[in-house]
Amino acid sequence: MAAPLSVFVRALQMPRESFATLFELRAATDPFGLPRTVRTTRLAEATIDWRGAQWLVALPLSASALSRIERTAPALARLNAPWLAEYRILRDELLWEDDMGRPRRHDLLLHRLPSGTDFAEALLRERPGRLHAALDALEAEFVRAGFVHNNLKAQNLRWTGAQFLPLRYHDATLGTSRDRDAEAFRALHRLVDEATAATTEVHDIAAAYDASPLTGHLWVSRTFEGLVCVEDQTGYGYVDTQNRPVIATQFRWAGDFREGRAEVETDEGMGLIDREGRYVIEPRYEIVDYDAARSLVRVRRRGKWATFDYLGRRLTPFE
Amino acid sequence: MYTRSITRTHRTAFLVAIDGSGSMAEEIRFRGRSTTKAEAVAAVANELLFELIERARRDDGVRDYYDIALVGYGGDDEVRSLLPGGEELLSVARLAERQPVLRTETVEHRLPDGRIALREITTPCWIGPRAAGQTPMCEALRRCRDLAAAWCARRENAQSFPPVVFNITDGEATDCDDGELRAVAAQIRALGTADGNVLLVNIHLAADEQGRTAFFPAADERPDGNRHARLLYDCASEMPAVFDEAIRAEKGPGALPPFRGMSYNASAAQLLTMLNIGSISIKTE
Repeated sequence: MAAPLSVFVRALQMPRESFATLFELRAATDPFGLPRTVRTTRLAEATIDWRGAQWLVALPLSASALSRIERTAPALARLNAPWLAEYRILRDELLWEDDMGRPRRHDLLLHRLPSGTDFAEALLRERPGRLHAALDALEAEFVRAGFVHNNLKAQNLRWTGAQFLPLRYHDATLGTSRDRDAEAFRALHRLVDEATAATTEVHDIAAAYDASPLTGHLWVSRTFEGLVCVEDQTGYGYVDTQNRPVIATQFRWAGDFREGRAEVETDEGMGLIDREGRYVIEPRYEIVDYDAARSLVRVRRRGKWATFDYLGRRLTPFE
Repeated sequence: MYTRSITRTHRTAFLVAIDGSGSMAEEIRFRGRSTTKAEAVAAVANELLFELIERARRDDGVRDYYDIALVGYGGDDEVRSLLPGGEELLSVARLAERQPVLRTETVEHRLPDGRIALREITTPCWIGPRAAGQTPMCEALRRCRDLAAAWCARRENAQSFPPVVFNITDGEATDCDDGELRAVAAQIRALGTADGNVLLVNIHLAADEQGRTAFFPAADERPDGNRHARLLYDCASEMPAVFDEAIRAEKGPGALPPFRGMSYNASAAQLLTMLNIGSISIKTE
């Protein structure tokens, strides 16, 4: 039986304790700090940062959801096509404990998310002729390889700036010379044409707005746990993904959130804050070094070090 | 039977009855921690709602795969809808429009060196813990019966997967005797659609010194020490054979059907992983 979705979402918030291989992952979150997941009928999928790249990690939603992928994944690996991103099943990857107190493990699907943008953004940024040509090139690659995606649509394409790459080929089939995705490619061409017609007059405005929603800052970090560290004239602080202020830009320096905590520095010294901006450790130390993996904080005062816990309680004397 | 996919054209309904009576203030061990029954009930109910909403979510939003009722019971023999605006039944899409309260929960976990580390995680809450007054479970189940009957009577639902009633309780009804509770449970189980009868699943949360748990118990696991647990076991639906394989996968190969729609000090949200929610839109050969 598959794991409940609540287990998956909880695991994404506690990766060290919940994943066998992906324990260093950081999940993209919504403005409320909950991991952002997308579902199809058979899979729940999250976008993660892991080892310097972006990936999709997916939980099968039913016992039968993996069976087709188990046939597809090895066949795709043998195909060895450069336009197919890494795609594999991680056996026993999700670790959790059920209500009976029994340790449980579940297989997950890991899928590399190539650098680039989604189809909708490509429509805003690129000339239609370029996108039509890229779709034609991808269709030719499919036919040459005997590859049929079987679920080709805008959401399942990635634009790298030079070409389209397919995503989510869970139902792909191989070994046919017929272009079974032809109808899907025609629909994608139509989307390019329709977008061109609809956005001719506002293209520049729409592109500028969509490409950079977090504007008005001197510097912008990436989204971690629903919050983005930004620098303004008044200092560092945090906004949500809609660019609404969450923690005022008041710090001399601030780091990204990890497991609900972020290191900050004021004129008085370094401290540690929670997601509401409250100090867990007051900003009066020379160095505050938070180890998210161990829920411990190393703190230096007048050259001596002490260890604090996640809640800001000092565990050892300064020595 | 029980094979109809749950889609927008063939929806189903989930009716969740939630005990909020005074006895819910008692402490129990749940998931290895000491907590009140009310906290455990709220956790189980919120996980169930999270599962229902998120399993209906697609890239174009939450799809109307089912209707949901939340029937709270407690207080001065009070049975009332816990849905926004007091509505009796809401589509899952409309329920999802309501932003839940986000609760920050600090959880403990043991590191490989044996130390305990803390983590903060965010959990959405639609239902808060409640513990006051009587336990009008019979009246709450009558309300669920009437809602299910009305839902099944609608022509558009005639071919659908039948409604599922979850009753989350500590088992001590104060508004009826055992016979009356068995009778209303039987009336619920007798309702249905062309795809099968309504399923009544009892989620029983109780103080248990031995720390026992149960999940879809078989006949030889019928509770013997706790009168309320026995009654809830008897009232629950026998799970249809189509679920046997999935339940055995969960319980272990030694488990022999038939299984009862009941859990004891455990959630039953995993039942939802056995249902076929949403249509396969991909083109396959």
